[in-house]
Amino acid sequence: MQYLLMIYSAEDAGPQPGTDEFMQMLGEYQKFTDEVEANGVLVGGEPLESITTATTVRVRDGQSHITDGPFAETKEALGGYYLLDCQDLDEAIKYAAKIPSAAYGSIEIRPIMQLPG
Amino acid sequence: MNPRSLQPSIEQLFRDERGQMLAGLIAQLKDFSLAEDVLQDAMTQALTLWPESGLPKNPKSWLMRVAINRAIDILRRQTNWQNKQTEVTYLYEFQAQFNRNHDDHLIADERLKLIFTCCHPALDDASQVALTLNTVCGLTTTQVAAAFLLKTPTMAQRLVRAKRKIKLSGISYVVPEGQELNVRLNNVLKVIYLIYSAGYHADDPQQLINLEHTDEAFYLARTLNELIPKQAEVLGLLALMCFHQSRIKARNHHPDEFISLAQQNRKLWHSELIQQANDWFTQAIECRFMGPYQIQAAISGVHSQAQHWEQTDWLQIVGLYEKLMQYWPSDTVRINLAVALSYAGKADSAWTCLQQVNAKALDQYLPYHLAYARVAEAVNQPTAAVSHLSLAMALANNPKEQQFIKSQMNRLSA
Repeated sequence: MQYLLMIYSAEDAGPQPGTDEFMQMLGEYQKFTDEVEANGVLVGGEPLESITTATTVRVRDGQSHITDGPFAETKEALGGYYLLDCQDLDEAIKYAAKIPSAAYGSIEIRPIMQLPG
Repeated sequence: MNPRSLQPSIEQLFRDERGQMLAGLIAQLKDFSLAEDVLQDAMTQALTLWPESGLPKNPKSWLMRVAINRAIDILRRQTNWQNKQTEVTYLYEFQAQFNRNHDDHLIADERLKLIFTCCHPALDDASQVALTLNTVCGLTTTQVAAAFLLKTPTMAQRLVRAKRKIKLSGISYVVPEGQELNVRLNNVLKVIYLIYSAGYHADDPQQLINLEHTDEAFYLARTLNELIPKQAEVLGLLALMCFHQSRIKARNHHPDEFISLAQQNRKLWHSELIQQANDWFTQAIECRFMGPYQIQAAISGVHSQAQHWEQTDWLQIVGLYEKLMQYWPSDTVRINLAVALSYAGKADSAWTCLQQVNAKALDQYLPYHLAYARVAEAVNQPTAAVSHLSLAMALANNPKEQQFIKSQMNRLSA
């Protein structure tokens, strides 16, 4: 079963770019990516640019409305994701807990919908 | 034999064995709702046939065979049944086990898997409790709804949502292993204790205790102890519930007021239940794996040892609450510690301890105000004590509690 692990955190929480702690965290992310790859569960995963680069599009009455920024004002922003193919939810939870940002942000786990046919 | 006379024994069999059969069916079908539907169908058939034909030699095997047959029918009739062919073939093989001579005693007991699945922390607490009462204890949706003071359709929806989440989010029907077992067991124990407390402090305005519900908690804990024996914390929980249970009569002795530990007539305590609790506690300690339920049982046990309230070994209780803080560092435990300190003759420590809690967050928590009143009284601040009793009074939602608080107020102003 495939699970999307969405990494949420406040952008001012956790190690900040330019610090030693940030470099260390990047190393931990690399280690995690290597682990899920070696275990054959990694389907995909990428970090996202900061929420200040977000653009939102809505189509109403055939008209596109473009706005600067995210759709919803939330303290925690989506910062990246992993797509993993796991045995069950417990395995996905086990991996989610190993994502470095889980220590100060949160990881939302969502199963990928199984379409019939 | 008059066929009608079989009816009660059939119904008794359903009540006793439903949980185990349902657990077995879910293990094979991997689908809560389908398992419940086909078991219901099999039972309906049995109710029609058995009063005429008599009870089959192995009734459980009979019911399982009919239920699986029904499941195969349903799966084959589904539009995408080609995708289900492997499943159906597998079910045929499984069904073959339940031939006419299959011994009921050989049916694998899958209830442990069912308990761990219903108490999965990915479900919210209320859903875990509702699902456990519904599937493991076999309470009807209406009974579960009544326990939650909800309308039946609302509860039905909540149960459907929980079962869908189990299926769609891929919660496995397994007993966790290794380190994981202890973590998940704590969650199961929490659910059982929630069910116990709901029965012990029922919100029903007419009744402080709903005995039926403490029965469910005992049923669950005993079943757990049977399926995974020698687990220190399971035994600890059994001891804790049993100590509480031994005082129910003394606590409810007065029809209009609940009677606090201090005022209970200790001759009304149920000595056999105290003995049983002590037995479980001893077994728990022999496992040599300390945990919060054993500590709470020990606290309750210290109370049971005292012939009179004045003989209570408060210093020992203080020590136990301090130990409990290591497992559950929370304001709830801190409040209890403060009260114990106040009775142990350490009023100043009690006062300091109580100042450490987050008073704002506990504003609506009745036991906090009662504890505050007690500690304030110990440090000679009767005005503060009375004002917190008034706050407690505003939060009390049943007449027995209100009456208890009123007596406290009268005593302080006398």
